[in-house]
Amino acid sequence: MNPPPIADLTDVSFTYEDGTRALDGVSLRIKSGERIGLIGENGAGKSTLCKHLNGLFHPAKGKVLIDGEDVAKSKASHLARTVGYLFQNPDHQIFKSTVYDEVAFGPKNIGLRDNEVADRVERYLELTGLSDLAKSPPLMLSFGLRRMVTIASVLSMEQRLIILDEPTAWLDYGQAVLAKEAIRGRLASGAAMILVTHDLQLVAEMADRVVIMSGGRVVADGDAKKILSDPDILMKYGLDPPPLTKLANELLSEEAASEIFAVADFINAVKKKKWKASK
Amino acid sequence: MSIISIRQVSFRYPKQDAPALSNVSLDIFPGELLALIGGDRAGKTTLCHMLNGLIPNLIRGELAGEIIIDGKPSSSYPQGGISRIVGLSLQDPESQLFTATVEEEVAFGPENLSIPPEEIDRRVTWALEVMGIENLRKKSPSALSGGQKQRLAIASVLSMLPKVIVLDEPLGMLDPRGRRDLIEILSRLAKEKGISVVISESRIDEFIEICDRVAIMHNGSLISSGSPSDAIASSDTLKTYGIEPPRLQILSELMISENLISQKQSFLGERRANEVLKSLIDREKGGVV
Ligand SMILES: Nc1ncnc2c1ncn2[C@@H]1O[C@H](COP(=O)(O)OP(=O)(O)O)[C@@H](O)[C@H]1O
Ligand SMILES: Nc1ncnc2c1ncn2[C@@H]1O[C@H](COP(=O)(O)OP(=O)(O)O)[C@@H](O)[C@H]1O
Ligand SMILES: [Mg+2]
Ligand SMILES: [Mg+2]
Repeated sequence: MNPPPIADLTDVSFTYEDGTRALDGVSLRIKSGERIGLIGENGAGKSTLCKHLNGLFHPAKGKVLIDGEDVAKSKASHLARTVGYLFQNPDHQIFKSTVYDEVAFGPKNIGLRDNEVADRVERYLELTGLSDLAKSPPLMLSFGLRRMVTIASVLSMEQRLIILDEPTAWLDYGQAVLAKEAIRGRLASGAAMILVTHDLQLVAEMADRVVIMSGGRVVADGDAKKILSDPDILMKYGLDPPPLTKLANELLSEEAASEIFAVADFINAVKKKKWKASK
Repeated sequence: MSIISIRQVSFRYPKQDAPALSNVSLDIFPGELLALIGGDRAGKTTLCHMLNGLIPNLIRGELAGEIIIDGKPSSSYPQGGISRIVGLSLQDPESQLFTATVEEEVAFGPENLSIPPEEIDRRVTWALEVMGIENLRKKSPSALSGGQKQRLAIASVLSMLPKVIVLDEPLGMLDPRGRRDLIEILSRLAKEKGISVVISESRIDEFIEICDRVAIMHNGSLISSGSPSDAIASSDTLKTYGIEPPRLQILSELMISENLISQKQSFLGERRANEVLKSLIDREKGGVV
């Protein structure tokens, strides 16, 4: 028998207290190890969806299963062993008085032994470039460093599903490079990922499947490269393709343009003169 | 004549060893669009807070040098006096939203400028529309999504139509269309109304083509300030400053090193990339025929 999907949402709807219907019949099945880029306009329902996967919210209608278990019936501490969640705003997540304790909290909470906790904290502080700041109060750090602290906190739990809500917003170039490496390390160990971001280039680098949300619904779901190279579908949902994609679509043949995700791809197409046929 | 002049300014936050800004001099001119780029901790936020008088009037520290806003030292303005000249949206929009509804938030600034009510209504509607959140007028700011909060924070600066608009990392949480729309409106406000616009960011991909000037900050110092193509001439240098180089610039550099285009044809943004590549295609096709 196949293992159950790591996350399985069936017809999930959710309405906030002020009457805003933020999710409207969302069904989504995420296999173990799958890497999903979750994209969509501001207010599409991405963060609300994420909060259903770690038990922060329970659906008004529909069902959310994590690892085959109904989230509505699982304890938060139990779910935390399987699902890690990086909040969109780091300040909603930080509450300890040192960086070390902040990163140690998760591993302790899922019952790791002291020496394992120490190992994890050291490793993830190192990976996120924070080793020298272990004793600092996290809320005194810069925006970028606060975000790095929360990334270390989430990754250090080494869960099988990590949900990253706009992880690179507020990171500078060097920090984003470190963060991506650290995340890739978890993916290489087989963790599944939901990556929420407006950086479609980042999605191209990290995800193999793309889900587009709009108005609380899933409006597209499929192969990452197919969706990311299709300007029509991106534009339809308010997601202008990145400059490289636009350039490729204007100048290269349709076939060549559908394979441009990195600068190197573009160079190759130029060398092979895969230009668009002139009208 | 500059509208803001920062002269040899250094600033140190209380109880900090290192200064957040060291000997920074910068003039901001009417109608220009200035990109203030640098990595995390470069000093961008500190400088933005100086541009609207938050430093030194509310945030204290050790300050040296002069900050002249519209002809007067920033410290000589009465409380709130600078806000009719300079509007600032904060990096974390949540820390600036405090009213009960979205429309009150956007009306708050103009109300304090004693603008007639009909004009306030017009401005509020305009600012909500350009930021794409007019359907959220009656909602509580705390009940918005992250990106919607950022849109609201920017709308409440736009509605004041100040002489200078300063946006501290405004793009991070905006969706791609929201970014494009914002950049378009800022560029229009600068050109048509002579409003000066300062955008602080650690990447510049999206707005390199509309900037009149790019200032690079690193470790509290202003490294350079000049035309976009001069300021960001090398993507490797940008990386050492924690700035993500524009992807098309990387493409351009690679094409030059592979002799596909000449140094003179280097490009940074979309428009120029299109021109250069089209001329390359024409030449090749011409050669074949
Ligand atoms: N606490 C809240 N109360 C009421 N409405 C909310 C709340 N949080 C979000 N919303 C609304 O729900 C919708 C989806 O929000 P969200 O999931 O945060 O969007 P996204 O993460 O895709 O930007 C938006 O219309 C937003 O205004
Ligand atoms: N409120 C503060 N108290 C103490 N130090 C601060 C404060 N705000 C910023 N700093 C420090 O000042 C320097 C410049 O920070 P900042 O202006 O926030 O840079 P940026 O916006 O480019 O990330 C950093 O070293 C930062 O840690
Ligand atoms: Mg969100
Ligand atoms: Mg800042």
